[in-house]
Amino acid sequence: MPALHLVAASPDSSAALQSCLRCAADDDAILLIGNGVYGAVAGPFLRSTRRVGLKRWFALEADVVARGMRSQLAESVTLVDDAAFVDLVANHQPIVSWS
Amino acid sequence: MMRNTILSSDRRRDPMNISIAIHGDAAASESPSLALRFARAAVAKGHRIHRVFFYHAGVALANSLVVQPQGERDIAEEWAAFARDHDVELAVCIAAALRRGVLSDDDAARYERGGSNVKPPFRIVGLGQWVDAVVASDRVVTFPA
Amino acid sequence: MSRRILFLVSHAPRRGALGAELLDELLIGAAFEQRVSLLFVGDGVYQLADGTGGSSARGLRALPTYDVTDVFVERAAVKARNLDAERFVIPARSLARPAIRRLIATQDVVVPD
Repeated sequence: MPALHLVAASPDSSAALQSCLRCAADDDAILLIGNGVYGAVAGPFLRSTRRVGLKRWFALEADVVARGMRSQLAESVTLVDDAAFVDLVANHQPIVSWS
Repeated sequence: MMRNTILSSDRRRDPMNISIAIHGDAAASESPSLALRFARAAVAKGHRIHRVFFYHAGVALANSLVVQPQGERDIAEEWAAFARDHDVELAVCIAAALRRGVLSDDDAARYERGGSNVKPPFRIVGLGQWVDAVVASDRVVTFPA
Repeated sequence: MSRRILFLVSHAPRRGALGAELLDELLIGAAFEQRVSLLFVGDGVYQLADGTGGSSARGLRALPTYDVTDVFVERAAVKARNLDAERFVIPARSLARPAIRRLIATQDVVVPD
């Protein structure tokens, strides 16, 4: 079963996203939560993923909307509501959190 | 215009036992509020929250002496209400709690401190309760500081 | 029942109890006969190089007493920081990225620092 990586810190505030990308397998899912959603802003996101390839990218919708970022998201990031967050957890093992 | 696809929720699947670890305090981290949203959604989907384990800075949520300013969310109280409504255990690691000044009646007596300050229904437990939760759960989700 | 629990250290040593608290969880997991392992990635590799004798280093030295021998380190992170693995607080098996991904994939639970 693929792993689910939760990234809770913005790319500039910590190495969380970078470390996650080095340790995540290609079929793993990466869910950006809290300030982690800043990692989904189009420009920086494309720079992150260019070197490590596209994994399955998700961002918590409530956190994106709370930060007024909806129109700035990279297109390949799928928005996820809290119920779908639970489904991601149910469908992946282990759950790896990065901060 | 919405450019991003939205993941919609699966049909209901078999209920799971899920444990949650919270490592951050509400004053400095979104960890407790993110975890609460997740817990509410998990219960709404029919899963069971086996235990919520508060460790590192997260033990501060159990501090009954905290006074929230008027008009600000009281995440600790929201957790307490959630725990009561859904019969979920809020377990606070004793070693982390002692270090950060959250003391049960027993600890206050043992260490001759002025008073105890654990907010019900949070409970002080040993670290073994975390291992127990890991063994008993299908999934363990940590919300880091 | 015994779970596979990986403790994942990605931060350089920090002030306070955080390092010791992670190791406490690991040791209690071992004491309760869980299959525990420890992986240092990124700046986390500095915890292996910690010559200060702090609580984290003391905790690491206790691992063999608890029969915890599955200690791993990200090869690229050690190299990028010019660290000498011979001088680590405890021995750690060096892993390239594919091996790290496989290690994570086999776990039931991952605990971050």
